Amino acid sequence: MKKIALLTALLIIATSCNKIDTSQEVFSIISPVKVTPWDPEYAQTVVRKIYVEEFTGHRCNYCPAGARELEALMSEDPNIVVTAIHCTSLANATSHVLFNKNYKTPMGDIICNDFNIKGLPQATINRLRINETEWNYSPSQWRSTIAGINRNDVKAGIQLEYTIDEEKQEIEAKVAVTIIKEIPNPVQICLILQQDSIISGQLFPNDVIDGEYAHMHMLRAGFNGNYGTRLTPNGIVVEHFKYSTTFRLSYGNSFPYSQVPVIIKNCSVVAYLIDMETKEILQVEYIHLD
Amino acid sequence: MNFELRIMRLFLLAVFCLLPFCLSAQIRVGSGTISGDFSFNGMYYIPDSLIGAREVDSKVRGNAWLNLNYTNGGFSTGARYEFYLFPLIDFQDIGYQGQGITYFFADYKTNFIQVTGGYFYEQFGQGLTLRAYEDRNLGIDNSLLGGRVRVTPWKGIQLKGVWGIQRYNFNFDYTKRNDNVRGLDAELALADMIPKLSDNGVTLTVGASFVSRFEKAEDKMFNIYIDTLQYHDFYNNNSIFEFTPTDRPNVIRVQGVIPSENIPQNVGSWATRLNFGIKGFRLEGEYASKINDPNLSNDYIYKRGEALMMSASYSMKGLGVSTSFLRADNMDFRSQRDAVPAYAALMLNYIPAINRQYSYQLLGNYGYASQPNGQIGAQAQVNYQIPRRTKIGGRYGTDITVNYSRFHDIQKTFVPLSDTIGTITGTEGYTSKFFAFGKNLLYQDVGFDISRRLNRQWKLMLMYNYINYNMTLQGKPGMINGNHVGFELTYKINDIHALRLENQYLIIPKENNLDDKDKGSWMFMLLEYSISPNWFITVSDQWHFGNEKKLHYPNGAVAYVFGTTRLALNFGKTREGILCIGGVCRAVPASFGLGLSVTTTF
Repeated sequence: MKKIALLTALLIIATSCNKIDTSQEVFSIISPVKVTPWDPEYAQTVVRKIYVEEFTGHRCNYCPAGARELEALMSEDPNIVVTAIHCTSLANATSHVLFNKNYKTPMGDIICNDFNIKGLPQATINRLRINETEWNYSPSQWRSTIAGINRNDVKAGIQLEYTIDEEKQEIEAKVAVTIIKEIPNPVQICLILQQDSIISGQLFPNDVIDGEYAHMHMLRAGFNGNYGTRLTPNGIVVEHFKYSTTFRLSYGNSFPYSQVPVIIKNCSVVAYLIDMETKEILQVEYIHLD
Repeated sequence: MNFELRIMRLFLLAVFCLLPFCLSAQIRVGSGTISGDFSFNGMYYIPDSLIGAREVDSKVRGNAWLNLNYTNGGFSTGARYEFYLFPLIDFQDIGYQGQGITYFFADYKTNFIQVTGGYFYEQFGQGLTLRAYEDRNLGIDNSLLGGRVRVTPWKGIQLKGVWGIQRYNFNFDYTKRNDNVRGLDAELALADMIPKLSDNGVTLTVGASFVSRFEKAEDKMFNIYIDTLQYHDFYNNNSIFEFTPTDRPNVIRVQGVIPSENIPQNVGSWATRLNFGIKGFRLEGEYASKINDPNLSNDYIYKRGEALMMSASYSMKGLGVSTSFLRADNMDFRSQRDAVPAYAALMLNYIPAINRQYSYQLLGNYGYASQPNGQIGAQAQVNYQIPRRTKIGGRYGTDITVNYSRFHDIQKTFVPLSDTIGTITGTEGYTSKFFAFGKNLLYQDVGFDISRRLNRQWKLMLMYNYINYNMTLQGKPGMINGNHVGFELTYKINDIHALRLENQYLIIPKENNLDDKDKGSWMFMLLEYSISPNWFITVSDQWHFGNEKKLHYPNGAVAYVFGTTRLALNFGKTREGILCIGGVCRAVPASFGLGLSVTTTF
């Protein structure tokens, strides 16, 4: 009996202390970026996608033709991702009942300005630089420029997932960037929300107006700034590592400039990886929100 | 009439209805007896902007409780009802507010075993590992709800086991609690087991205890500050790209997290103790240690805690000498790791203050608060009675008490990682040499008092103290360096009537870097007229004469005692300060008003 009591007491004592090993740091710094080794099998499946920023405006009469050209390219090559950025004075809202909506965004205006977009329609293709001050390609150059990009040069893969919190009216986008080849320059990941099938007016040549035009791939907002955020303190990422993080975007209130509501089923999240030195888009991924 | 006034009136009515009942002694019920006690402390508050007595929402407030116990042979049971729904503002400020049956128990005791279920109080040794106790004046009730077993298998051996959840003010929804406490204690009274020892006047007791607290762990978030230039390796290695700038160049703030798996859910504390005595000499010592217990009071560090308390005393006719030593390091031990350190609620253990405890009004305002997380100090006291019927001692003898005590913080060398991350949270915190004193003096007191009966009618006591009191103990700046002088004169008019006069000065130089409320000297005077054994009439005043505001805190009180019942009425002002009992303190807000207190036991 005494032995049992003694053993019970010892057992209670032995199991009633949790000694924590402090020879290793017991805490960690909360970083939105989780860094893990890559998955080589996934890397094998990654293809280089092309990102086209289509600069357009509802009062730009040649823009519908540009849009048709891009639709054709996209149907031929599913690895082309297009975002339509409404900018310049041709995208301004007017008192005309068919043009009184403003589809410009602060982010789009900044990109438009930074990439020196003057006339419409124009496009950047992977933000490849033409010369010191120009990135903008005319519709006639789009096909050939896309064809000239080396698709075998796959530097990174992007994986996207999302969840929608309808109560909070919030989109949570999880992005994982796998670095397949060495990237010598700092990079940033940028996520945007774009929306299809916004029915509104569009000017065509000869002052023809289509009041039921479906505007596609329209940039609505950025998740994490105009040029995204770094994945590491200095922006340098390491080959064969995967950088995962999460961003949230609230769509409850109308975005600046616009009273056009966000219809989730018509929206997509686009994520692209930017080489901050050359400004080139190294990879892009797209996911439609159902 | 608002709700609280109605409730308060009901209670006042209840007080007076209970009085006749309380006047009788214990009530016999069959072969058992019912006993208990009742207390009511009420006050009508009057705002006074001069002394900082604030306007309170419910002007009439009171604390009341009733204990009822039934005892029949080895069986006893009891309960307590507390009514603190509109408590005195002191208690409201510390969160002790509510009402209900706050204590109930059933206990069965034989020579071999004692079993308790319900709420109980318990102490292991000096309390360094466990002291579940109550102090109504401080608003502390750290009782445990659960079970306790005490076994005495042989004469001189006592084993105790406890398991329970600690009371937390009036939060009685224990289903929401994620913490509990287990404890074991063993004590061997060797002198009881070995008659030869007791025959030679030796007492020798050894004991050991172990207490473990369980609390479910959750991730702990905290701020990290990094100098990105000085600690760029750490900065680069931690994938920091989201941060908040600070007002210091190059220093950024980031969020750190201690994951729940790195927070100990079971925290154990153990202690060993020894009591030895032979004739007039007595030696007591207890050493306690606690494993990693990151909590709010220690900034979530993982350092082991430890405490040592030793005392030695010698007494003979007319002479008593005692010395004590105490060191405590990271020993704040509570039921919940996020318990607020400023309050004594949820304290599991007790690190006492070993300095001399004064009842003098002015010194009481600067009572030393024990620092479980870092203090080292000692005290010595000599009591000597100059024999009666001698030239110096006089006809009735003269009592002299001399004492000295000094407490510092402990020496700390912070771990290098704490420099890098700008906080000790999540690290071992610091190392500390066991007997090294920290550079900050917390408290020092050197003083004496002389008490002498001059003749059959007059008795005089003179007192002097020099104190250094670090105001950080009250969360304020500065250090009190004061001389305290005073006297107490009692004039016994006859066997029934007596007068007592107290006069004290606390001389604090103005140049001390003190809060305005503490700057400058104080005077206290009290005159008490007593008509034995029933009436006590007192008038007093604390005067902050050394301060520019020269505030007075007058008070008048009348108390009537009959049997075991005491009724008291007082009117006056109370200064803002602290109330300390045994090194445990609570803040006292400034107040002005009319008070009524009733206490009775039966």
